[in-house]
Amino acid sequence: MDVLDVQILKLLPGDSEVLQKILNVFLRSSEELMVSMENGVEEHDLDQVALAAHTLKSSSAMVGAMDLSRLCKEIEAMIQKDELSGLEVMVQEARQSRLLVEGECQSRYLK
Amino acid sequence: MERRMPIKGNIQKAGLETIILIDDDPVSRLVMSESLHEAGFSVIETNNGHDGLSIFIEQQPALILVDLQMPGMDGYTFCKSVRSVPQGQDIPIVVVTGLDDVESIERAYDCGATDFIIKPIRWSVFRHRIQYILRSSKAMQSAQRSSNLLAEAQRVAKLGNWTWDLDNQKLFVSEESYRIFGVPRVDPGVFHKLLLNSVDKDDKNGFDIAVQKASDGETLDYAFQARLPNGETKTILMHLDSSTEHLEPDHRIFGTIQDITEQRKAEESIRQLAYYDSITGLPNRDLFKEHLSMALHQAERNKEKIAVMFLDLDNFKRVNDSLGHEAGDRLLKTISERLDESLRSTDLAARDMGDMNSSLARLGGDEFTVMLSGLHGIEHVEMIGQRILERIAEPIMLSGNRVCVSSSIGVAIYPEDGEDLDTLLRNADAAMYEVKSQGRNGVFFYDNVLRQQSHDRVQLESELHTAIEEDQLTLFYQPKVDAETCQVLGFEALIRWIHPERGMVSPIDFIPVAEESGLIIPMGAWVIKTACRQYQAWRKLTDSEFSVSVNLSAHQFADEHLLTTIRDILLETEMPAQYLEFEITETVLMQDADTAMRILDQMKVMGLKVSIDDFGTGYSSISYLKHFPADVLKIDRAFVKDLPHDEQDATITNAIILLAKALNMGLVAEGVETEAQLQWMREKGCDQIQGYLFSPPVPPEKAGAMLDKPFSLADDV
Repeated sequence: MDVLDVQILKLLPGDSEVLQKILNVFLRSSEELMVSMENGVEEHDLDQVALAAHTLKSSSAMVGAMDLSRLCKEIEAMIQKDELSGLEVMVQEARQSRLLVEGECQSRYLK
Repeated sequence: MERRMPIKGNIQKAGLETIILIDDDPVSRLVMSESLHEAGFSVIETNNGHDGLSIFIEQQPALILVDLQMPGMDGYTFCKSVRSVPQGQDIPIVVVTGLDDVESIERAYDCGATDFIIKPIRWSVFRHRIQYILRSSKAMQSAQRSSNLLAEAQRVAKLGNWTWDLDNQKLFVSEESYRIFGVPRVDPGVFHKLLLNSVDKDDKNGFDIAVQKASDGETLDYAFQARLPNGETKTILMHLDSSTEHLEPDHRIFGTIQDITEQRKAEESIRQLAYYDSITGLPNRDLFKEHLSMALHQAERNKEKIAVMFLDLDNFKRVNDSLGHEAGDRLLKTISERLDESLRSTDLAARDMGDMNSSLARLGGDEFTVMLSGLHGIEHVEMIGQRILERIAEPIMLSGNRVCVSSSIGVAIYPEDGEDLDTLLRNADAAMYEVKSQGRNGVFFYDNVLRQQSHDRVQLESELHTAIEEDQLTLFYQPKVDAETCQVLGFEALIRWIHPERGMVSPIDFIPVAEESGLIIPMGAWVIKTACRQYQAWRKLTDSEFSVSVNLSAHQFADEHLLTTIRDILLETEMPAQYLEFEITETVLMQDADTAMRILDQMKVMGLKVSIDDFGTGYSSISYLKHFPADVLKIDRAFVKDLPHDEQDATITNAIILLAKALNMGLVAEGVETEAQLQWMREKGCDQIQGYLFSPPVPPEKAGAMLDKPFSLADDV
């Protein structure tokens, strides 16, 4: 699976300049959301974790970062089902996935 | 952890539709915003519901896009908040949510969302979707506006519309229909029952017929009384239409219902003012005529009879004058109540009178009318009239006074006494006058009036012929006496009829018949001749000078042979013309004053004397009087009877005396009955006196004896 789904990126509105803008906004906001998730885990604020995961789920799907989106969806589901044992690991996986997305963006679209 | 951000993109481009975009995720915001810009919208973005709400109120956008999951005010709360402000009723709100969260869509709808968009968003269709939602929302709003307008118009007009599914017994109605019936929105099947149950039982039959006609293709209006579930009664006007455009296999009619209760009330009060008498509350003349007119149609169809009673109080004016108008009004009210009671008790008591109906009205003043319709015979009508008379005659307490009024009732019967309204009323009125003339307080039928009048007339006429042939007529004589000397100066010949069975018949009764039948001419000639012969007979017994006078009626005076007849009689009886005097009333002379003048002139030429009779009672012209060659004025007894104490009569009589003297005419006072009157006449200078003081009219033998010596009065010394 590609880190970024090219088909989705192609369908986004606007030209390449707009795409760069979108990806820059995504990188900034996804970083904030990851930090919010990590802090939430550390502080046992599950609501904060869930809300950040929910937002990141849809915004990552929007830019075609489907793996990251899937991980966020799982985090959201774990909290909803109160299966919290793997939550920290899952957040770490999301962090890893986001790093891959950032690398892909930087190398392919934001040069 | 709400993150505020400055409002961006609020540089609204002229002519572009504005969309507010509310999402806490900057990525979503940016992508959607880009897409909407490409579609030609102006976009205002914000990351939270609070700001979104204030932007909405400020900017009045065309559409709102809102994310459901947001920190702080979420999308649900936002929807509710928008819908709770007046300007937020119609704006389309599109919520954005994930594919995995269908439940949230339901909830968003409950909070007032218009539509939804699922993430991940398919950008190729996104803007079309938004444009479609906007268009349909506008169409909805405009439909809502016209629906509102229609509802408003219906509310103002108290008019509801409906469609009636006759096969399935369902009635689909508009909002106002529920309001008219005072019920909440109910199922079409329930409303169908409700309507049918509300129709007043008296209107039920008509209602069913109206519905039947409409379902047969007729368009019609039907008004009925509706007894509503809340206990109210309303007048409902129903318009039913089976429009051909809607000819469908199923069976439907269309129409409106309108609450015309207030309208009917207004009409009723106008009708009350126009058709009812304000004092008694009874129908007035106009309404009575309507009732009578309807009853006449019915009577004609059913071959029934109608009795029209005309009732007049005999002494109402006296009550009104002595106790005042207020008491008079109360009297009228009491009378109307008594009339109503006696008719109602009659209705109850008269089961055997078939379908008799009664109707009562006040025509004005103290006149009432009663109509009895549906009669098969008239046996009971007089009894009803009598009952009314008795009831009215019972004493009434008015302002502490015990008042008794009697009444006179005239009755005309349809069809015998008239077949139309005016004739019946006129003849009932005539019959009522007959009661009055016969001493009041009675019931009289018009055909009796006619029958009696014509019977009497025919009878009298034939008897009058016999009277002339069989010498039943005779002349009585009343002396005219010199006011000073009490010497008899002449006699007035007065006709009398000594009927073999009836005795003395008054000239008041038979002269009109004689005039109408023409008998007056030979009768008049007979009088003149008889008076002349009598003069000659007396002449032989006395040396004193005297005259004899004869009355000439209007018919005689108009007879072209009058002067010839007189001449012949003078010749035949050798009567000296200067002792024959003709008494002609002022009224007869003035009927054709010029002709009268010519005849009088000729009479003068013949040497006859003329006196003007009943002077002062009719119309007279002093300038004519001056030219009439009359010798004597006779002062009517009407002025004399209250002398000397009645000042007005004294003034008038005095003026007549002065007038006669100014015109060099002689004077005779008629109807002098007292010595005081004689004294008064003497003082005023009236020459001659006629009246019971000296003598009533007497047979010729007695009259002749009066010529011998003057009358002597007890007080005369």
